[in-house]
Order: sequence, then structure tokens, then C-alpha cells
Amino acid sequence: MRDLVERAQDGDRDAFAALVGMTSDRMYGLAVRILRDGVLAEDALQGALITVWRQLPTLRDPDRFEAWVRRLLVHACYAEARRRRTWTANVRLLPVDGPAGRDDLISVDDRDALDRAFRRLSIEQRVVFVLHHHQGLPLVEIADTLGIPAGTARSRLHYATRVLRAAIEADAVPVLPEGRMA
Amino acid sequence: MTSERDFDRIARAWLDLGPNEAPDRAVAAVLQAVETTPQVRRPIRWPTWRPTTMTRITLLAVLAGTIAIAIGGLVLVGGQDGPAPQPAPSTAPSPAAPTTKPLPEAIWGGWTAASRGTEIEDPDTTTILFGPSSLDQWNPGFGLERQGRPRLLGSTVVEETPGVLRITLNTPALVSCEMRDVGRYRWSLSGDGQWLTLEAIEDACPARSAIVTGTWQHNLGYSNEGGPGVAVNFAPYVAFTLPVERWNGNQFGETDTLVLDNGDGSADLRIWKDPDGFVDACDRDAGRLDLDPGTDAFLAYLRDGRQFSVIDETELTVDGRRAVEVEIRLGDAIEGPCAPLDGNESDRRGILLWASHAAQGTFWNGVAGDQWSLVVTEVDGATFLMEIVRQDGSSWPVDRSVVDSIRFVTELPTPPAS
Repeated sequence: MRDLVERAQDGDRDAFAALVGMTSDRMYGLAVRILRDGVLAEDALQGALITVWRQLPTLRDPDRFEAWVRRLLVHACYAEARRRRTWTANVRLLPVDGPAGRDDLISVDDRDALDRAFRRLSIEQRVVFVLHHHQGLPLVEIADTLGIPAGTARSRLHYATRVLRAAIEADAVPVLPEGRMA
Repeated sequence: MTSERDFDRIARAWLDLGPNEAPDRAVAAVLQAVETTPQVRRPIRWPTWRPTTMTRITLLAVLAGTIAIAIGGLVLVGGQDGPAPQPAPSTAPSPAAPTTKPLPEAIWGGWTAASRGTEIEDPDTTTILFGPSSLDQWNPGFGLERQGRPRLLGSTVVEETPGVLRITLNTPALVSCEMRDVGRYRWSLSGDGQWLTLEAIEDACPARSAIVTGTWQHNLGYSNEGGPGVAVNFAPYVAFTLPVERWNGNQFGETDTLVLDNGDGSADLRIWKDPDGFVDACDRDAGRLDLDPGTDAFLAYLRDGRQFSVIDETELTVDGRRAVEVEIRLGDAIEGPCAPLDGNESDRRGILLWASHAAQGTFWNGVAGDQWSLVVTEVDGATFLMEIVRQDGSSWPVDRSVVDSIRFVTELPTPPAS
């Protein structure tokens, strides 16, 4: 991948197309889980990848390409969420007919409860939760990706976990401001 | 009760639901867009250390401001039709109408006036900033900028009714103001977008009212949409006119340096006052050269420095002063590893060029083969070095329309009579 990144940094569009092919599925999967909406995720992916192309010459360490792309994608998700924040109540449900569903491991009730509770989280809390539980990133790497202190990442994960866990234990979950968490 | 392990398993299973393949149309739109999208130039400016007098709070404020400006740039670029190619739009559902109108884009950016003389302002000029706030990046914000000090009066702002802004303080109490103090201001913009007039209707925060009320000139040191304005990063100030398009401010809170690039990365505007040279192009530890002021002294540095090859020199005038447009190429006489590039110790392709004298916090570097088109002039005994260029294929010639608009002014222009 390093060779492709370096070629793309020098303006090689074929190399960039290869990089897009290698990363776009993972990045789309990340975006759609953060935003819970395929259309928004598509927009975030497109915006992020074009930014990747434009800013590639500024990437100092080609070996950090994927982490850098992930960071740009998260920022694109922030922008999408911000742009559409006035009508998040209308966000459509994430399609559940994807090819990789482990549907047998989760009940319909749990799924619906998690869907509802997840939408009550802030976009920042969603990002940390998805990076940790879906992408499998440790908190230190999440903090590095997002450019936030590890303690902040831990706090966001803690809050998100608490809300989602409560959601599958009971429908009514008190939502506290993030800053009031221990 | 759900155990920790059960919850993790359920959460992962839930997250595993859903698509894992990017739609072909999205990928195709990206690849189509990059066909006509230029890449930015390699960054040649890298903050390597910060001034010893910069406190942690100040540094955070500077970084937060930079991030906010960058986010503002992204938001504006994304929200406007501009020269940059855009991917094919998705078919999104119609949005619900927002309950309040966001801050009008016409007034996003920095605005400067002579200081009102309050104790929280800078002594000479005062700059206010409208746009995404560093305090709450999700809401359009307002703040009082201060050179090298934390931003004050951080507020959220919306257009309550056409022509009326509602500004709500969302930072801790200050002077006579309390959190959530609301002010209402009538705003109007001059035809050329250069002058913003804010008239207080009411404000529960008197300190804010004392500063905000009045007429402001567009400060081009922040992200902006082009047009005429002024940069107060220097003494004298530099007034000029930018082509009407998105420009991203990239301030690091420095004096004597101005850095802008346009939205699609095809134009740069950089101005340095009295830059230092380097004793050794490959060794920053060898120290800086305190160059004599003036056009000829800087040209001599370019001609004599082993990192530069002067390709061409052309005499011109800038604001009635003698100036020289000089084209240089880097690294013709340098073989093998040189200096860390952009601060990366493992990449020794860097070549040291010059550094900001006043801030002491940054230096500029490039790599062998880079070509720069610069304009050098002298104003009141000070060197002004300018890189004001626009991409033309693979070359970056000087944008003479901007250079010709430059005026060096010791006082802010008088606002037009209302």
C-alpha cells in the first residue's frame, strides 16, 4: 500500500483509484454505522475521499494512510451530521439486509432498542462506540484518530455503553449530559 | 441483567448488521471528481516549536481557533457551488425546515475595526469572528479575537429575523456579563462586502455591546469569500482584493505572517514581513540569518544561498514601491539527504528556506525541484516577501491582479458614510 500512497501523492490517479478500491468498503461501513443512514454515509464517504485526494501530498507518513483516511472520514461524518442535524429525527433506519449480518446473535427487540438508543447519542459518542466495537480499535488509537485525550474517548465510550446497555435492559433510559458522567 | 461479555457480543452483532460495501455509484463519483480536482501543494510550513511565552491555554485557543476555521472552511466549501468539482449529489430526503436561520454566510469570517479601548481588546485593532465557534463547533459562533491570547465573548449566533442577529453568550461570565446573556443586533453589509455594520437593538452583556456596535472592515486573514479587505497581521496593515471564491485562512496566531489558500487548492497567498534566512540550508541548528531589511538584501540571500537557484527576476511596482518578482528553484546544488521535511526526522528531503522572525515559531521548507515565484518589496524599512500565485497547469505564476491591488496602510480606512 505504501507504494500506492506515494504514487498517489505524486498525482497518480490510477494509484489513487486502487487505494479507493482497497479502503472504500471499510470506510463506508464505518460511516453508515456512525450516521445510521446510507445516504448520509455515501455523502460522507465521497467528501472524505475527495479530501483524501486533495490533501494526499500533505500526508507525511504513507504508512499512516489508513488511519489518516479514517480520521478524515470521521470528520466528514461530523460535517454530515452537523449539516443535517436539524432533521435527524427523520433519519431512516439502517438497512438490515446487508450481507454480513449476524442476525442469529441478536434479537429483534434488542436490535430495535439499540437502534433507538443509538440515535440519542451525540455524533461524537457514536464515533467512539463504533470505532471501538465495530472497528476493534483500542481507546488509545481512537483518541489518536480523533485527536482527543484518551480520557475523553473513555468518557464517551462509557456514556454510550451505559445508554445502549440500559436500552436493552429497559426501554426507558435517562439521558444525562456527557459532562455529568463520572 | 446483561453481563459485560453479553453486552459486547450483542453490540458487535448489532454493529455487524448492515452493508459493508460502498455503493459503486459513490466510488465512481469520487473517481470522476478527482479527474478534475487538483491536489494541494506539499505543505512547506511546519510549526516546529512554540514561543516560550505561549501559555498552554493560549496554545489550546490557537489550535482550537485553527480547527474551527478549518472546519468552517470545509463546511462552506461543502455548502456552496464553487469551482471545485463536487461528487454527484445523493438523493436525500427533503429536510424539515429549521426553526432558526443559521448565520448568513455573507458575514462569516473575521471583521476588524480600530480598538474601542476596552480592557479586553487588543490595543490597536479589534477583530471579531463569525463562524463555527471553537467553543461549540456544531453551532455558528461569535467571538472576540485577541492576538496571542484566548478568544473571549464566545457566543452562539443565529439570524433571528431577516437582518437581525441573536447572539447568546455561551462562555463563562466575564466583566458584567453572564452565561446565556442575549444580544440582538441589526446587521448590514456594504455592496462590495467589505464593511459590516452592527447596530445594537439590545444586549444584556454591556461589554459585548460596547465592542460589537459599529462598522467593521472585512479581515482577509480569516477564511473568507474573497473581495476587498485588510490583513492586520502586519504593521503597516496590508489591504488587498482577493478573487471572489472561497479562501481558507490558516492562521496560527502569528504576527508578520499571513497564509491563505483558495478552496480548491489552486491558489496560495502568503506574506511574510522581515523573514529570517538560514545559515545552513540543511541544518536548522546552525541558526538563522538575521537578514538586513529591504528588497536587495533578500534578493542577495536568494542569489547566494546554496539551496536556491534564481531563474528569473523582473522589476515591478507594488503600491508605488519598487518590487522584484523573482523565480527560484530549490536544491540544484544540494545532493543527498538534507533537512527533515515538514519536521519528519525520517525524511531528509527537506531544504530550509526562511522563517518567521517575529513569531520564532515556524520555518518554511521545500524539496529539490520545487519552483517558487515570489515578489519582494520594501515598506518603511521592512522587507515584505510575498508568494501570491495561482496554478496554471504545472506552474504557479504570480497572480498579478492580487499583487496590483495591494496597499500598505498605517491606519484602517475610514468606513464609508452610511
